[in-house]
Formats: sequence, C-alpha cells, structure tokens
Amino acid sequence: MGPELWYEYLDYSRMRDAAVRSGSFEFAQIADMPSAAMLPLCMFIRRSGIAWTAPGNERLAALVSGLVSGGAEAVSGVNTNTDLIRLPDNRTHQLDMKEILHAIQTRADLFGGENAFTYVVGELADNWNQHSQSRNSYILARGLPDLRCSELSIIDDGITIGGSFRKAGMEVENDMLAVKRAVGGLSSKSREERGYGLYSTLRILTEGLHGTVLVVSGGGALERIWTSPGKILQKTYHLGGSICGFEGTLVSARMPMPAPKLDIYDYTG
Amino acid sequence: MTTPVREISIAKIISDHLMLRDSATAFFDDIERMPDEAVVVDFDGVIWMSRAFAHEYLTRKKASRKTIDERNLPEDVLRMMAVVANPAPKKKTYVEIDTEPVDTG
Repeated sequence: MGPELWYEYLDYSRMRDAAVRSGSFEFAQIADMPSAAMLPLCMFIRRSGIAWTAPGNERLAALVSGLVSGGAEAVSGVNTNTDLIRLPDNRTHQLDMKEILHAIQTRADLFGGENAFTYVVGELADNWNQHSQSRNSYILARGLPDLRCSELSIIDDGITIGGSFRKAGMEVENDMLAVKRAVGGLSSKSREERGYGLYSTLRILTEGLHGTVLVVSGGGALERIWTSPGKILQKTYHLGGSICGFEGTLVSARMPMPAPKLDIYDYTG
Repeated sequence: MTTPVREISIAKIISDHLMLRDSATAFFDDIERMPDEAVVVDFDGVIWMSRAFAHEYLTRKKASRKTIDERNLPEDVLRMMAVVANPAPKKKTYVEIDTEPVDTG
C-alpha cells in the first residue's frame, strides 16, 4: 500500500493550479472526489472567489456547494443525514459538541463504534478549538460503500500547527517538523502530559482501524499508513512555498469498511 | 457546625457529552467563584468524557483548594480518568519510510 492520500492531495494542488490559470473550475464532469482533494479545493475556491460549476452528482454537489458557499444552513444543524458539519465561528466553551456529534453519530459504525468515533471527533475538534484560530472549519464523515471504505476529515483555515507552536514561543525549524512533532505528542502547551490528542487519534485511526491518515498544515505534511498487523509506515513532506502548501490544517483519514471494533483505551496513552 | 457541601449536576450544566477542554476550564472557574468549600460533582446522565476534558478536570481539581468529590461516575468516565491520571509514555509505533522528507518546493 502506498501513500494514497498524499497523491490525492497532490491532485488538489494540480486542480488548484489549473483553476488559477483558467480562472474557473468545472466540477460538472466529476462523479466523486476524495476528501483529501475536495476539502482543500473547495476552501481555496471559496477564498479566491474563482468561478465554478456544480457537480452533476447530487451528493457531491451538496458537499461542494456547502463548502464553497460556506452556507451554514446547507450543512450544519442537527441533521443526521448530512455528511458535512460546519464548525461554528464563535469558539467558546459554550460550543455544544453534542449538537455536532448527533449530526454524524449515525456513522459511528463506520469508524469502529461509538466510543472510537466520539473519541476521534472529540479530540480533533478540541485541537481545532484550542489551537486553530480559524474562521472556516468543517468535519466530513462519510461512508463510500462502493469503495469499501469510509472517510473522516477535519479542515480549517487557521494559523496551522507550526503557527500555533510559534505563537506559543516554541522554536520549530519548519512546518514539516511541526506536523511531525505534533502527531508524535508535542503540545504547544509545553507540558509532557499534554499532546496526547493528535498522538492517540492517529494511533486509533491507523493501529486500531487499519486506516491511512494524511495531515497537511502550512508547508508541511505527513502520511501514516497501516499496511499489515504490526506494520505502520510514516512519510513526511516538505511543501515549502510550493503550490502544494495549504493555508490552514487538513487531517484526512480513510478506513477500510467494515471497520474493526476496538477498545480505544488500548490507544489513548 | 458542618461545612456546607454543594452538589452540581455536570450533565445539566455542560452536556451529557463532556468534550472540550475549555468546557472543563469554565466549569472549574465557576466552582472557584462559589462560596462553598466542598463541592460534589454528580456525573449522573453523563455519556462521554473526552481525554482533553478529563485532563483539564483532574488538573484543575488537583490545583483547587476546595474539596471536590465525584459521584455516579460512569464506567467510561472512570476509565478515561484513569488513563489521564496514569498516562503511558508516548511511543513510536510506526516505521519512518524514506526518512529524508519529499521536498515539493
């Protein structure tokens, strides 16, 4: 198994480059698009104001229009049929995660059961809440039965993982190292007992659910891939100032379907 | 004269899903503002406590001068608190491939 999500993310940067050159993006001929490409592409189209045409596929069209328009009415609220959740702009302790969880909890069986799904979504959302300082953020959780897999992603247009470390006064040589340290358990809160959120989430998604996870943040990226029992590979990428960089953070995971049931406490540290 | 003990239903105040670290921070800020020297936090109705919430809860409880006890702790909440109270060292569970990062710049 190779770094599949990375190549899908590279497709995003190619499509973005083509859209910049032509001044528009045509979704019309696209039947579906993996989350690792669709989420950053739609965030880019929204930010740049580039013209776009809606996909013919109804399910994809709903996702794309929700992401590009940023219209909360299309994608938020307690609608258990929706794949996409827009996280609120007003990040306060008042944020009722139950509302978010209810909207996607029907998909828990796709992600190793309710405990695993709640743990992963909760830790990703808490990281977002604590560190991202973003204005536009989404969680996408969907099953792709034809491909016998499911996808779980969170994306934001915030200050990036490296930016969060630097804001906290921590030295990081580059964004790739920032991503690598964050998933290895380093926290911008500079305390050893912190930093378990992303660390344990990646363990659950790969060791527990046998999935692949791509983390892209600013000029750095990392992909961790479950290949066989006891064998997990990790590869890192320097994006520097290239077109592959991302102004924000994307965590995108793909798990085989059906997902194995697991005891999350084996991975929570 | 006995010290008054205040009982607080955490599910009613926050949610039956205790998810965000900031929620725990705000919860303890409220407790610290109370005049009571002893507080019992009732977890009846709680379905889930995240690791981040559990960590903040235990950190603030340890730092508080008040006597804070819990009751009706669900099994999953107890397990999460135990994990946070005795965290396993972070370990490397993967193999790095092509340790020189790919440079797309």
